[in-house]
Amino acid sequence: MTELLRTENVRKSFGHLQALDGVDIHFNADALTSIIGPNGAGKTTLINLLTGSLGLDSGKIFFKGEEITKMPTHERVKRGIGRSFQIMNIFPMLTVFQNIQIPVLSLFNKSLKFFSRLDAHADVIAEVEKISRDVGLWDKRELPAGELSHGDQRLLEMGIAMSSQPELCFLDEPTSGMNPGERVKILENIRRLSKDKRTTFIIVEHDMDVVFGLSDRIVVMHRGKVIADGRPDEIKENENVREVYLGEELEEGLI
Amino acid sequence: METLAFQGLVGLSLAMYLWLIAAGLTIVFGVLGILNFAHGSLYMLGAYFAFTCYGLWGINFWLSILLSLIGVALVSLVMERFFLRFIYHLDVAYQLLLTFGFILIFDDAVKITWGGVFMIPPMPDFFSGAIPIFGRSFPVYNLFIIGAGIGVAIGLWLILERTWWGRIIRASASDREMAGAIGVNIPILFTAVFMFGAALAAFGGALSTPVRVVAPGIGATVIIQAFVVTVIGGLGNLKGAFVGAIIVGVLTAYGILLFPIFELFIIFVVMAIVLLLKPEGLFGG
Amino acid sequence: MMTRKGVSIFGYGYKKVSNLLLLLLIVVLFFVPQLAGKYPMYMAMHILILSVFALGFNLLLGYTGLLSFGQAGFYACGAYGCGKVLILIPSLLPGIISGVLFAGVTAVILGFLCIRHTRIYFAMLTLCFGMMIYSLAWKWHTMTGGDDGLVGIPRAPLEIPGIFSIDMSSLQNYYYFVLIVCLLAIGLLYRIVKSPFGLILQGIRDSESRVSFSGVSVKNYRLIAFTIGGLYAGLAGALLPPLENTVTPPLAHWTHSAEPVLATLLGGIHTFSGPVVGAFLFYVIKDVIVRFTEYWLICLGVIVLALVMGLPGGVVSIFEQKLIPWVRLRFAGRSLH
Repeated sequence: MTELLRTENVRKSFGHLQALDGVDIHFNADALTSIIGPNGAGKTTLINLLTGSLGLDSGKIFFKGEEITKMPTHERVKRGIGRSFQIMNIFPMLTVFQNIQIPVLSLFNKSLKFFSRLDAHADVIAEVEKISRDVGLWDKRELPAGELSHGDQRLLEMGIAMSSQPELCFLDEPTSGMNPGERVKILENIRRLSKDKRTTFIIVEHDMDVVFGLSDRIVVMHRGKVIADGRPDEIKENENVREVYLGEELEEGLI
Repeated sequence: METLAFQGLVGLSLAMYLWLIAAGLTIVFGVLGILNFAHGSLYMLGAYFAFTCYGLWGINFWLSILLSLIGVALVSLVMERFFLRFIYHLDVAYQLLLTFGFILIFDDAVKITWGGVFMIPPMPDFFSGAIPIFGRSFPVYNLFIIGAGIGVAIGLWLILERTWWGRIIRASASDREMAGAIGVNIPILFTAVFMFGAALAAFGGALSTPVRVVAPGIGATVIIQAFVVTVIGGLGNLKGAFVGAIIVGVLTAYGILLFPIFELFIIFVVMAIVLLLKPEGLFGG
Repeated sequence: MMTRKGVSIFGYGYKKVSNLLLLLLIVVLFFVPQLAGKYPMYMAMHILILSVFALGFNLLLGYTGLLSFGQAGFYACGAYGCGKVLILIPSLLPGIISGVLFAGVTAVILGFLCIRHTRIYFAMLTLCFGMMIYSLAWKWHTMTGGDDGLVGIPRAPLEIPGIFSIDMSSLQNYYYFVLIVCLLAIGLLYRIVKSPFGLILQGIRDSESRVSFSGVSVKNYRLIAFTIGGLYAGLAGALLPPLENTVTPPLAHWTHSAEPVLATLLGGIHTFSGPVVGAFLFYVIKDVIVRFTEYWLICLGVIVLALVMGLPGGVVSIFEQKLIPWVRLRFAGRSLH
């Protein structure tokens, strides 16, 4: 199992709040991992740090052996890290097609072309078509992204995240706010793309069905630290985890 | 040496005008999230109203200032209630464009009502004359200005840190939704704060009438200076606005003394340096 | 704008109609000297210059989401740069090119300082730096002529030494020069906007974090866009000295920066042609108002208020959101989508 990403003693605080308190974690290829934990555990902060949206206070981050601690986001993306956002992050005024076109142009290193016409790049167009069909939005490709339904926007969000062909992709609560039908679609997409083995997914989720249904590995966080890390069956048995999760979600997951 | 110290004092009185304008701008920005481009025009209106009362109609100096504050507060009420309120949720570009529209209107409105450039009215008796400081004559009025500026600074600090009103304002500034959820009447609060900010600007304008020329277009000049002050001090930070005003005021005074051609340019260079070294401003972040 | 397939007006596609209108407009412009005379020529030149100025501005606002209130600074760089060179070397091309380059270099330097900041800070910074250029233009007597500015700038001939030389002293000749240069500049910007680069800029406008996560350095692209905006402002400025024979400090004042802002607001932020339409409207409105009252700023201010409050998309948006659908429904036999 190749190691993709590794952190060493990562710390981050916001004023008096210690959001991450010495996190040592690693992610290997081909192991779909979920990160769970109560609110405030530091899950989203961790993702922000790993993807470069936030700077850390101390510690190191390595991706495929290279230190990326101080690297800006777009450099990390070029090396193979991707992300989808909990709060929708698409290009609302552009069409679905254009939304996917942007990361593809960047991937093919064509984003700096001033004078060529957009439709002159057949390779880009072919790739955008493929991705649009993959997420099931080909029919809606001419619609402005802002006019899509919530579920479709989530699909688009995933499509955009996948367009950069990331080796390691963070999904931040991919099913939040979805109705059951939409959830099934998203999960199908995640499963299918995972099986392809080109992308390893790291999912932050609250929905325990999703977590236990999809994951090869579960990481549990609490108050800025990792308190448990292992296979789903191991996590179910873990005393610390039960203690931390007083809520119903884990109960449901166990049943 | 004495000349330098004297010029520093001159700079301090210059700084107080800047502080009065920047304070209002900062409070409005901090609480409402609006950057009021027309804030300088409110300063200008304050100057015109005060001038009219004091210089043209011979009303008592202090009463003139009060009337000017009331007048500008009413104008700002109209601005906020009927225009700005509707674009709070929009991109900042719209705010700047809308308030820019107001600058155009105020500039011409002032020309229509009062005509062109004005003379400076006589100094009120109790402030006339000068006292010797650092071997030169320093106008008493300027001392008054410095005192007024510091007084406003202390007053604002007291209001914001020590009163119930101040707590509400600070709470609304940091989390509007939460404040609304706990029962603060946000629309009324916003209008009140906007009017208060406008009154501060008007106060600066009114105070300036005995010593500075009152003319159309001073609003535009003053807003640029206020922006430089807030960029240096840190957007939305009152302490920063005060310190920034002092820096800009004193540097301008020294600039006039030592590099007369480039005194305006120096201010911008200082701003550029602050931006390079600490982009959020001295107290920002 | 995406093409809407299957919709026709009078049997022609929507795109074809607007292309036809454009061609007609260009032909009309070429015949203004013959058809109309001196004053319309003069006004047309000013409209063309403002169009170039405003298009550069809108590359920043409409396409990249950056509101710059300091474009007049670059306009002044173009004007002063061109003016100073023309006084030394009475040849049109070196003058124009110098002006544009001077503006471009200034834009890169100032852009580097401004671009790291969020939208409010950015607007304020551009305003302040624009005024910084104004303060230099006003006070640096030895270089810029101070309050009086540069005078006696010749309308130098357009020449390439040894190959040709076209005399520009007749207004008509200079009009054609300005027309061709502006049309080329507009065409070039259109290409840029429709290119991959142009699409990335729009992405930055819509969501800069998403663009970062697509592997694009937002700062670099903003700086490039800012430089192009500065170059276009510089070109607009450089075309002025040969026309007016003088260059004065108010050209750098932020109230002059307001002109492309207003033109774009009037014509529409969200389309390519908006600023051009707006430039035309700006001069027409100014012309009309000035016949009735000298207080045209207040009228302009009221129009700005009306536009921001009621019609953020500008005049072109009425055209696209109301008129075209209405025309389609009336005349097209097929459905809208």
